[in-house]
Amino acid sequence: MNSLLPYLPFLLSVISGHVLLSLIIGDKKTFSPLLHLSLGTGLGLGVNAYLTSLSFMLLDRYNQTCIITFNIFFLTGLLVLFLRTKNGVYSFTDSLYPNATGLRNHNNILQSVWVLYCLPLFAILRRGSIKQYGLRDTIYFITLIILFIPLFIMAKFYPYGGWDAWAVWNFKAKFLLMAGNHWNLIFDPALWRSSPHYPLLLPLINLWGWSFLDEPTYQVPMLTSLLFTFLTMGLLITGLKEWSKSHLVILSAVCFTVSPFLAKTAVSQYCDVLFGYYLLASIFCLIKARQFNNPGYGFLAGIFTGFLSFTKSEGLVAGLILTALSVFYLIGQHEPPTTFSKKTGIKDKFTMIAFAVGCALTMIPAIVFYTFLAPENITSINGLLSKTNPADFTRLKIILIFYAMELVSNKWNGLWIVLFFGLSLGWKNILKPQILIIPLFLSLYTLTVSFYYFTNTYFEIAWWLSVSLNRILGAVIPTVIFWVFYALWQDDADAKKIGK
Amino acid sequence: MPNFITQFQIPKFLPRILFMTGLSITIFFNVPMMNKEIRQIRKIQRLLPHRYQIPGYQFAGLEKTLENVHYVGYYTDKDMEQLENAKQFAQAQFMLAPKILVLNSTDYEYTIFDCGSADVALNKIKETGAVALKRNPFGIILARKTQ
Repeated sequence: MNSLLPYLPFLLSVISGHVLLSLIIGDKKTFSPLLHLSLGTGLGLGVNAYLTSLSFMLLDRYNQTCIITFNIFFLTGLLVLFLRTKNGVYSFTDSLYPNATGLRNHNNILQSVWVLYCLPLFAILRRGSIKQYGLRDTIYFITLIILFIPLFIMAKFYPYGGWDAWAVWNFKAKFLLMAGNHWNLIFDPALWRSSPHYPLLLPLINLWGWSFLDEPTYQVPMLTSLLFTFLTMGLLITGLKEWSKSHLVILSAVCFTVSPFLAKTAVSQYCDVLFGYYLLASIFCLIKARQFNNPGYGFLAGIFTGFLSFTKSEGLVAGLILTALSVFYLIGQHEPPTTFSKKTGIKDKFTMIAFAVGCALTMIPAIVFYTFLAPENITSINGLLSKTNPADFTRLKIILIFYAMELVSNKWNGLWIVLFFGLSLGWKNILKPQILIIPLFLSLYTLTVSFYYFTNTYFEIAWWLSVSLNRILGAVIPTVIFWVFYALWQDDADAKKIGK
Repeated sequence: MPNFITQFQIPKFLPRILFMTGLSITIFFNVPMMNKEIRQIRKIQRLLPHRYQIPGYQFAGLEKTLENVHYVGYYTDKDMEQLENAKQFAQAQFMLAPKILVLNSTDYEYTIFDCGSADVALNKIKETGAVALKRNPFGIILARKTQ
């Protein structure tokens, strides 16, 4: 039984994310189950991590009972809400049991448990989307599993992840689990090698994973890393399929598994996997929100952007850039009306408001963390003001040369070259208004990161770039792959949209 | 002729085919590398037992003596600019979490000595007025100040 306990929290996250997504998006019969799984699981894990942090806020320590209770209550609340929706489980119950009115009263405890926890799952699985996408998604799912075998083998070799995984992320999670009332010592400057100023989303997810077993087993961080890689690959394929008829979009996930460096980065248990996933999820939901003027997707995009900002310091930068861009992107909806946006008028403003609300819900904890909890980053010197470590022209030259060298280096085995080749082939489409947010985001993010590399002169720049740039590239690569495939299959995208 | 050039349009499928060709070539060259990597991993997996893959296994067991202690000194005569030595310290920090290891400090009640030789460590322990409590097979010594 104990060997199954590390997996139980993840299963609960899958369920809570799935139900929460159904409540936010509503009953879309055209929603692919694999897409639902890819988006819902990331959503569930993020929410469960935030609920786990309540234990520290309310009891000032890790408390197993508190964490499990909060999360079970949350799931129960979601299921009750789901039961109350018109497309929820009642319609399914009624079709199964013509005289099922008794079930609605929940007088019998067993019946209530059955209705509350089991029927919603069947109801979700029985939706129209299964009929429409069942075979296609099953084939994609099996393909993903096959592609995942080499990653799984690699992950087993790195059960504790790369250096930064155990020295930063897994260390923080272990610290939070075992420090009792002294968990605040995690911000002690003596721990500067573990970057105490980094946010805690990944450690909190791992902590949630450990909560049932109450022990820091290595399986949980490994599973977190593998799961987010799997979700990213699933989101790439099913996300692209939303705008393309071609099954060749499956090659977008293949990119992930055949590059040894990218595969190693993906299973090293670094936070960049979460960054990559939440960035892609935010952008995907923003594109959908704009296309269909759908506040549900706007809200989801906001939530994912907030999670993104709590992954790591670069995540906060990315989250703020994405938030700023979203204002213009969502307000400037000038596409011809679609089935969903015909009813607009006031609804287009709702999409923006929904994004802002979602963003506030998940970004405020991140801002509170950065403002009140995180210690000052002591590995920082302002090179623009410093006389001993000035930011000079040589530093800038090294940065630019390193960028070019990194993109063509053997490490990536030509993947970046092919992606740039793809962008040049789809040059007509890469700047179209519907996906303009991707190039704008990537440009602003590159500029900001470059500016930081230039101005923070604490580290010797060549060494710093050699250990960090490849991970920054690895984190944005899912979004770049999405951009390339979307740009090249734009015509199918238009056709499919018109079809809707 | 110029008219032909201006009127010429690239077929829609051509960029996709070119991209797929480029991607297929990359995949074609990457698959053998991935295979090689996995073969190496499996070989190392067979040779290296799991317990030696745990970061900081050299420090395992010390945490039992250090219960209810928040700060522990970590003394070493090794060059911390060397990657392997810095890694060993980081691994000790991971293994002994939530204790906070303070590098090259002997001011705390407990200090871990990770020195090049036992003589250096024992001399330093004597110098700081501490008593060696434990020494493990990896040469790590845990010492405690009596006062």
